[in-house]
Amino acid sequence: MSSLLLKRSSLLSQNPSLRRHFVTYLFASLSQPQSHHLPPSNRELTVPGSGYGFLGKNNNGSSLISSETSICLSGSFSGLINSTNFRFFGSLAAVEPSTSDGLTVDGIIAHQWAILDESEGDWKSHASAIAQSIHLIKKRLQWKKLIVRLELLSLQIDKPDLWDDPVRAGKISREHGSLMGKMKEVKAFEQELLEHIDMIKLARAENDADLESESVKALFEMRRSAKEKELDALLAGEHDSCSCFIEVQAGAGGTESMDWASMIMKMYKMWAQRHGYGVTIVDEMPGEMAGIKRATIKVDGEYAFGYAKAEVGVHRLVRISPFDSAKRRHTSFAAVAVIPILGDTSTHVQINESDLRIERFRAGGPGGQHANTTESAVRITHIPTGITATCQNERSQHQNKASAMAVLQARLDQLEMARQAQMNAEHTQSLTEISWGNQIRTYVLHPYRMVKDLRTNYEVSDPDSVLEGDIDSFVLTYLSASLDKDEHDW
Amino acid sequence: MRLGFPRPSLSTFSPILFHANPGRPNTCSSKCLIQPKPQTPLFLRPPTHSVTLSELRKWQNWAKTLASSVGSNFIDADNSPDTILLHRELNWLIEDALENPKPLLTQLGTDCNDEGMVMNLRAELGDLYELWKRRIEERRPFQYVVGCEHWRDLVLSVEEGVLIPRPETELIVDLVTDLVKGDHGELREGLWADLGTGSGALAIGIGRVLGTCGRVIATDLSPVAVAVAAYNVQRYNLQNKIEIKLGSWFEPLKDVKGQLVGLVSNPPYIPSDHISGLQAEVAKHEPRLALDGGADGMDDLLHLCHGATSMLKPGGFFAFETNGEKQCKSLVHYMQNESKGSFCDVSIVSDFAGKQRFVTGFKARPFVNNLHTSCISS
Ligand SMILES: C[S@@+](CC[C@H](N)C(=O)[O-])C[C@H]1O[C@@H](n2cnc3c(N)ncnc32)[C@H](O)[C@@H]1O
Repeated sequence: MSSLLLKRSSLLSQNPSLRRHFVTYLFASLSQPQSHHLPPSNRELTVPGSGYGFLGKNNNGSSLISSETSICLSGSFSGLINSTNFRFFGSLAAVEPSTSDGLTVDGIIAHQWAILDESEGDWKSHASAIAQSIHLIKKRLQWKKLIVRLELLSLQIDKPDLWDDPVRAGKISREHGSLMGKMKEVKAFEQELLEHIDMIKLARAENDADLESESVKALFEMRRSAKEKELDALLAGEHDSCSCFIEVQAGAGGTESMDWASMIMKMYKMWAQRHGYGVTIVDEMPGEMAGIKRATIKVDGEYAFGYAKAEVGVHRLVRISPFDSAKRRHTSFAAVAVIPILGDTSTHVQINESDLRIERFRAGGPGGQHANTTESAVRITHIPTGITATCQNERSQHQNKASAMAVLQARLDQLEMARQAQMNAEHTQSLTEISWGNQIRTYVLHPYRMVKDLRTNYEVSDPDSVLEGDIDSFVLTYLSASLDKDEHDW
Repeated sequence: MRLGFPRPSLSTFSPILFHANPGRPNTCSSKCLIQPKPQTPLFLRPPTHSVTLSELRKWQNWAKTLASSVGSNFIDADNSPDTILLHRELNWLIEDALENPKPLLTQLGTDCNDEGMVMNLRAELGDLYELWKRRIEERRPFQYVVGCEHWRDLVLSVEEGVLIPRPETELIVDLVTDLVKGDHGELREGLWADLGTGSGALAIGIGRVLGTCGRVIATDLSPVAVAVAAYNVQRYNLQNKIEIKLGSWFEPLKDVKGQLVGLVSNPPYIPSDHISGLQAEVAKHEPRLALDGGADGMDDLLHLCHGATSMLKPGGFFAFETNGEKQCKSLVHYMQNESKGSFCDVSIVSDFAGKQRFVTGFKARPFVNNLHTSCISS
């Protein structure tokens, strides 16, 4: 497999035609009727087909879809929904699960049963709240797009020649597995709701008070976990679960802005530490008098990127400057960029050694035995793109080089993702692309005290706690606002 | 000869060294027989001392202030660390000295009731004051303060008497790694030598990229270096692969003449009269034996170059670190003239600062005579 991996053309170099072919292939198929890609015979494929046998041989067990066995029955869908052996086909997703008397989740919503306080043990109220949550979760997962995408991926997976390009195949099967997991989870949740309702109806018919209260209790618990699932669904993006780099750059205005940039950076460090994320300073360019011109930290842990991406943009500060002897009011700016660190190395852009220029950074004098310094900063330049990465905080040059390489890799990956438009474009902006006009949040310390997000209008009156890393409410408000807006788009 | 049994022939210095460096300490006094005991680096000592977080913070603030007081004084004087670098070193000292450095290194834990928290230290608090004071006031190298140097992916024990491995030298291991990777076995499974091994950096770096049959012999004239190198080899569990020998250059290698597939060395190369003008960390604290390369700094390089002709197998590889462009060029010149026909593919390799730093090449194979003449004359 590794030799085949090497064959994967660097997306940024040599082989543009191949790459274009791959990309257009994937996307063109989106807009075409599926029958075009799927010969009728394949449609009835109900047992592991040739594609799967091939997969097993080539994949060395690394595929995420290995838990999926290809059994697809037409007809009664609901009986399979909880089984792990079920494989999704678009046509089947259209079958709405329902109670024995035909009540569906949409049906529940349509009833508009009053949603009472959780403590009120009314089953209709619980059911209504849960159905609302399911609705919201689906919206956040962009349910319709998800179905289309899954359908498309399923078609790809069934092609016998899928594993001719193992890298692409791995990518497809991983995405398929992950989307599949999300869809199954929601479907199972829906099904659970409907089963409990069936139970309640049955219990009532048979006057079984125990059974009824048990089922109402189960609904009550579902209602609680639905709230958690709503939150989870905010972070369902392809790269949301990744670790990330956070970069901060001071705007114009000298020391004043550099001080602000370091305050912002401190805010993120504290935020990350509160969440139990690992924080490492990778690169830091201090200001002459105070603060930082620019800095990069690495934030290690699950969903670091999913949250931090909400911070991308320009942050504005209004205060009485501690650096101004005349005590005037100043406005400063700092730009924030966030780069995901892709966990799956096979999706990385391939970097050719020969395209790199590696330099000792801040080295002066004759070096070698002449000097003894603990400074071993390294800067790596990717010549074809001009992208650079610097690291000076590690204790050996070798480690600085490795860290700088990791930043470079993430930057190139991000560039590539932006090109493929796989992500919401605004989250993929690098520092150089963020326009200073793109202000997302204002922090006012004087004449009044307030932090306000300009995208959501969410505001708090305690800037200190925000600057000490308490930014979660801003992040969540933004994430839900951006996912919950387009009613028709999901 | 295994380490710990110095033999009488040790007093036979190679002539070049003997004449060029009359000022060198006579390392073969009766003291040679007493095996120096290497110090344990700070980060490996047991955390048996306890102090409260607030006491530690007091020390930390004092240390920061002391580092800040330096400002840019040093850097103007002799290209030495500035406040930013010293603050970074302070964090590393905290990392090494504390069992749980987090409260001091993160912005959390500003909580007042944490201040009484007991922290476990690997040295006494008083020692930390002393260590940092000496770092700033005496310009004692940071690596001697903590007793280790991070070099490549290794953490090597170092102490006074042993040269602190330089970042530039890391590249020799990269060169060897690349070579060995594309090799079909001879280089990977053969016998290598690291002459003047110091802390053992090159020997360990190379030992880790060789195959199961690959071996390294590392030599040094300094008993302290030999002891420290042996300690580092043990720490990386390479004692079956790397043999450390006390002695001058090739002298401990007599019995493997003509058998080496590779030879690396970072010998002393600073011209004698430059030494006193070096940055204080180097001039005042690092061993002269590790730095002084004679009048033009070339004494040991030339000696090694000369010896390489008879020590290497045909096709064997060598890499030497030098003081820069001038020494690289004159070494290449020497190979093309004095030892004409002995080497091929001789080239100069630059370090990451863009300085010509290394001379590499291969011992010529007799049967490709016409080929190597062409490559030597190029
Ligand atoms: C510049 S240091 C290099 C140490 C180590 N190889 C490194 O790169 O960090 C030179 C080393 O050569 C050793 N040395 C000096 N004269 C020597 C001699 N005549 N024979 C063997 N080693 C010698 C010194 O003790 C010192 O350890």
